[in-house]
Amino acid sequence: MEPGNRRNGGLGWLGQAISGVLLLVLLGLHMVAHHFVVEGGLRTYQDVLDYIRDPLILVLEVAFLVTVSFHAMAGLRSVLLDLGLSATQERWVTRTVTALGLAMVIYGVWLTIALVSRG
Amino acid sequence: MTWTITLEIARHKPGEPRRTDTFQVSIDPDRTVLDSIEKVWAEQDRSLIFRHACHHASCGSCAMVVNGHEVLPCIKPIREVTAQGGTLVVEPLHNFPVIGDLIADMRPFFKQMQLIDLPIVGSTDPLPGQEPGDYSRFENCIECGICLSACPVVATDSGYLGPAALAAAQQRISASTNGLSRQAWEAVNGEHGLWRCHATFECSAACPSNVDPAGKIMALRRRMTVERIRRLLRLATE
Amino acid sequence: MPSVDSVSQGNGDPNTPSRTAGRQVGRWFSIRRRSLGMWGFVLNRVAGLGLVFYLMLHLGVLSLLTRGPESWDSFVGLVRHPAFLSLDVVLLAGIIGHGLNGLRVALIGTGILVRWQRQMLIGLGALGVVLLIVSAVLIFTA
Repeated sequence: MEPGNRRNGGLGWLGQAISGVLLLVLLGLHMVAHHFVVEGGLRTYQDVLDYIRDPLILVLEVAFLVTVSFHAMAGLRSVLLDLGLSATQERWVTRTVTALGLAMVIYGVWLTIALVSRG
Repeated sequence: MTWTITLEIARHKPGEPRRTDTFQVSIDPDRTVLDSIEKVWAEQDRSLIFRHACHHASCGSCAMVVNGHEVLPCIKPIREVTAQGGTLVVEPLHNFPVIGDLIADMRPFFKQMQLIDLPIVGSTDPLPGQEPGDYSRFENCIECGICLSACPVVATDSGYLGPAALAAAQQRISASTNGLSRQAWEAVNGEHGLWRCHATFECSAACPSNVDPAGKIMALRRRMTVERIRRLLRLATE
Repeated sequence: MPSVDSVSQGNGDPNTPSRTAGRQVGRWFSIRRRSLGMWGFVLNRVAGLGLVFYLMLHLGVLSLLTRGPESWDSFVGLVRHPAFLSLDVVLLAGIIGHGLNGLRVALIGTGILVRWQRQMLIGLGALGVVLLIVSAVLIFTA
């Protein structure tokens, strides 16, 4: 493979760095909310329903889901790009991780809506 | 004073399977690893091939891997890498195709340098220009390839520009007013340019010539970010 | 300008190398090196891949919530078991390691604090170990 494939690599890296720093906060909040608020450190079914009643919580959790899905997929893509694939293979890697990331977000949002409607 | 040491040297001739040959050598421990390899060649096996030229760490020809670490054997005293009765495992540079025995094919490296406007210059070609920065190529980096052997990204990504070329790009930009050509710029900023570096700092740790490629790559990233902003502003004001 | 391709074309050149270098993925995980930065890289890569796997697992497990309180609560009862708590500590080690080293990489990679990359690794590493021990204690006593 010829050295120096085109296209800008800086945006991907920057996105990864920014989402990573965001996650330090969002994941921290997520851990505290789920393990340091409830007696016993784990939320039961009812605890979960009570938890997602608050709209701010919903916003934060969805933000967390989107950010972590992006960071995970961008990371996976970065590892795969380190393998020096062909330009076509790289395009497929990008398409696949994007699709997977979208699927994760859609699934998470659907799950949240399903639970909110039960609460 | 003389030590008796064992050399396990990687051997490979085209068309033959790879193997390791073992040699016993009696040698003064204050002499260099390269001296011991030359002794093997001179006294035991004339078919051994390896590169060497200046014998004082300024040409970069002899770069190889000794006991798992990249070194310039011409300046590596034997007593620094082993003891009386010890063993030296000698291999060619990692991450390069091997022409034979200890000789790495440096052409992928030359391609990387060519991409950032630093092709091989023949002895009859005119010298680079009049700016002081045009001679920055001769500062520190002896283009030995050790950093590429040490880099884990080069190990798997044949498209990665590599620490030497990226450090040279940073050197050229900071020393000269000309900057990089469009082709070079795209190579450096591309998906397999400086953004593929994962900050392991292996290159800087292995470099025998104080280039600090990793530090230069990070400095270049800072510069690239500023440059992007400038270009965006230029586009905006045109 | 002389082109490198004129060197590599060969025409039956006996010096054509017999095989290309190939992909040495093992070198991603080789710690027998000399740079602390390499430790950070290996940690981030191993933890990152592990966390991606965990993320999928976690999202999958959450579907139990749609099966109602019996399914979910019995799952919660299951994971209170010390074996699972131990796995939680491993997970936390991965999160803390990846997070703190990632912060270091983000700072280095923008050119800020490059000179302190080794110090950052040691400092953040120490912080990480403390956080992990405190969390492990909390997990097992809560």
